[in-house]
Amino acid sequence: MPVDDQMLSKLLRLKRFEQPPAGYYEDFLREFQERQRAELLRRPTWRILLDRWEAFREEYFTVANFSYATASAAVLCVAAALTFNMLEHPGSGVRSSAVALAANTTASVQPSYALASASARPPTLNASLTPQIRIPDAFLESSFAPVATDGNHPRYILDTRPASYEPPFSF
Amino acid sequence: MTDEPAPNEDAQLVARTQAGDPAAFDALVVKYSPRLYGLVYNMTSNHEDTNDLLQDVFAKAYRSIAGFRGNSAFYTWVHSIAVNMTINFLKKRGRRMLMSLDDMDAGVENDKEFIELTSSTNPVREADLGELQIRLNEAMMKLSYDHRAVVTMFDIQGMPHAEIAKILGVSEGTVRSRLFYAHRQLQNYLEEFH
Repeated sequence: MPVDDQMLSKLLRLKRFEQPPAGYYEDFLREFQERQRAELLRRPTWRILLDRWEAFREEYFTVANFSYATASAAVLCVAAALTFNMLEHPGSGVRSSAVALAANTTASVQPSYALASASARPPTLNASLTPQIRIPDAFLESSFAPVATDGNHPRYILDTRPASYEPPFSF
Repeated sequence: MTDEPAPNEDAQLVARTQAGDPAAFDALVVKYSPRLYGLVYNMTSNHEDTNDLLQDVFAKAYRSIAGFRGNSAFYTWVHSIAVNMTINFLKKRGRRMLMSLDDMDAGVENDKEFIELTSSTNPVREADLGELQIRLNEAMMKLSYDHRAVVTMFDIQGMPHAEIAKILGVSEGTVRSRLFYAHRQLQNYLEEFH
């Protein structure tokens, strides 16, 4: 006898009634939970320690996701502020002093030269800038060259011209 | 015919599971184990294999749920896992057919179609129904895994074509053509019985 589509569909739908024994699904859940616990215990030690550390960190060092970016921005702002502060207020460091000196090569200087022999050590320039600068001997001995002037007063000028041609000092 | 799963309820349970609430996943197991049991059992026709496979299905679902983004319903997602794992299992088992059938639930006697089939005017008698069940399962085992899956989901579990297509990742046309071919195969085999 041919099994038509309708009969086949009915026969197949009867298979819905093929069910496991009573209580099966309750046992299934309990077995699943036991399996999950067993899997947790079987995990490698390093993995368990890592999970414990992450749980500890989340509990005691909760940091919002955006806080890291905020902290980084704050650090950059502080660094920028310190940099500008050093540039505007020299004296807070050697580097700022050097920059300030380079910008004030024509600053008024109150030298105190004593007309003495060439062998004499040149005095220290008391510049209006701090700290005091001591010009190396070799520099002075090679640079100073007395030049005859129209007057009786010899005029010492440097071979290496400063930025300004105006003599920084006069006698 | 099928119970429409409540997507909002499932979404809440999934979210709670992802947040670390194991009781939420237990609720999903309780909710879907009967349906998934039917799917796996009718593809394997073996109660013991079904039990082991179902444990593996939920274990895999639990491990993977952190990556579940909700692009599909949880119902569809977990069914896909079940179908794929069952097919992989059957491929490994090969052609060894180890049927271990569940008994018919007593409720079948109240089923309309059962009553029609076993009525005095129908050649199929109740005494033959048990043997017919065995024959039908044998016929199901002769189908390919893909055809068996669509017959199980459509004819036995009553899923719509669209849902089956989503679970299998194929078009509805493919689902319909597989069903047509599978029905012809089953009819040919059962005709030999009669």
